[in-house]
Amino acid sequence: MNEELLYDAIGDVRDDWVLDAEQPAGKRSQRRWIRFLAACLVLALLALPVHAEYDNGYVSNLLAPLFGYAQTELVDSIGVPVNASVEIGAYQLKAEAVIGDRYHVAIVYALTRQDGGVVPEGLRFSDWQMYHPFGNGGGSLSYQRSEDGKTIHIIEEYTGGGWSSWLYPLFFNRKVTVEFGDLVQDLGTEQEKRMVLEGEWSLSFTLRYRDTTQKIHFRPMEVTDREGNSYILKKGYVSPIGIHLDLTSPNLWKDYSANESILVQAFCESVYLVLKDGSQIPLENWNFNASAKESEDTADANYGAMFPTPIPLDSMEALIICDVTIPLEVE
Amino acid sequence: MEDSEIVTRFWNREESAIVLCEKNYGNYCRSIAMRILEDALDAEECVNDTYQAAWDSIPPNKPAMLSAYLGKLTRRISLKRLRSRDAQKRGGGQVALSLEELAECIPGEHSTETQLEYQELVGILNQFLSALPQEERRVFLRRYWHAMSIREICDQFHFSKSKVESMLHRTRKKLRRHLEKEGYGL
Repeated sequence: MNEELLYDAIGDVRDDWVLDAEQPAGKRSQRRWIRFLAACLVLALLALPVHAEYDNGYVSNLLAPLFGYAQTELVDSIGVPVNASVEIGAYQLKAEAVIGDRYHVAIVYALTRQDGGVVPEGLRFSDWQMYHPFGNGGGSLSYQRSEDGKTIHIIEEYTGGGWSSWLYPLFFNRKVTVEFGDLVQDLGTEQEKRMVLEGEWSLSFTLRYRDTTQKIHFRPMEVTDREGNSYILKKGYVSPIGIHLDLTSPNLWKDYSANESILVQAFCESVYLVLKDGSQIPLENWNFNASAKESEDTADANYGAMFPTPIPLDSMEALIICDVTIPLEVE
Repeated sequence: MEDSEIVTRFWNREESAIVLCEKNYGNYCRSIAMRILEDALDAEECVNDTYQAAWDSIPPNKPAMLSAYLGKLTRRISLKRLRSRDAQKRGGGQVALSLEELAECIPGEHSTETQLEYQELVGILNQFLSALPQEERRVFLRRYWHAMSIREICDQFHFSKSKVESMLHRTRKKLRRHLEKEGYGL
């Protein structure tokens, strides 16, 4: 068999897989039963302990690769340490701490040598996958080498917003599993990656951070982006970690020749957080999901963005979306 | 209009079936052809060839999902054109023509044995894809069925480039293991 034959055969796989692959992110059909299930489970889970007290500065220190040393008290009050590690040959990978809310999660890992020696520059995992309860969304992995060269911190961030959010109360006792692929050394160009250790390693742990998500009170409203596309903002949620909006968007998948990314960017780049001191923070770390049938003009969508550093709720004044100001009145 | 109604028109040999295909799925087929061929004129020709192929194959076929059926035809036709075009660029114009001529001597597109092996491979791929998480499967098919660029996939899923690349890398590794387990060697 050669590559051309394999490529041809891929072209003849099941029709429903092909059609499913064309669907935008978002699982519309599953939301109804998930809401019912979540309603049944919420009461049973409310009494479960979700957070423990840690020494001041402990968690914020672990999460410093993510936020620096900003808002340490706030970070300490929300984030939790994680005690999960795996040996990778001469190395150890440890999940150090996690922070998040109903729609976002960020995890800091530390990759070190077991003999305490210096870690080569450019060490990376060739691939990674997180199995989590946040539904469809977007994630990223970034790397920071410590000054002494003995640790590479890996920062994983994910913003979701699909049906799984209705199972939120389960999050506190939900395990996530993160799988990492080959350990390679990035030598600086696309083609030059040196294999260090071939394999797959996984970590499983529970997301036990304190959820501080609050609902934003506003009436559904229509906003129009700079391209003239209209969105209806239906619901909003905010925490010190980020924001989430449920909205109706134009159906970006109706016309295959349209450039969906430009349509989405025009909206997503128009979102700012306004603080009580008057400063405006552009929200650049965003994710946008939508789902719709091809024949429909609009789509059910959600937008989420993580703040660059945690921000106390009582210092937030408003959101500006497509030049419309929405006061942040929270529960 | 539902796909079943359009298929009925094909069966009744009504040319309006082609008009409806163009209206409902023309852009879709064109986008598949453009991604493979990167040439608007070639893509347009392939889409026209798709309608011809659909006319010739319905009946006896009765596709339940017309978009997938037409999409597959477009993909196949576009790949064939791409390979023919590339062969000619490499100076293989005459060789390519000779091979085409010889192909006329072989009954059917493939021998029965080769066709059976091919169908077996498709079955194995279906089995592999059914075991993948939905997101992974979607990304894989967008890359290798729809021939989307990494950039397009990033934009549509709002994933980072590294995440898409790593996801595809993992899926390819899994596919390789699956094929090896089924007795295939590349």
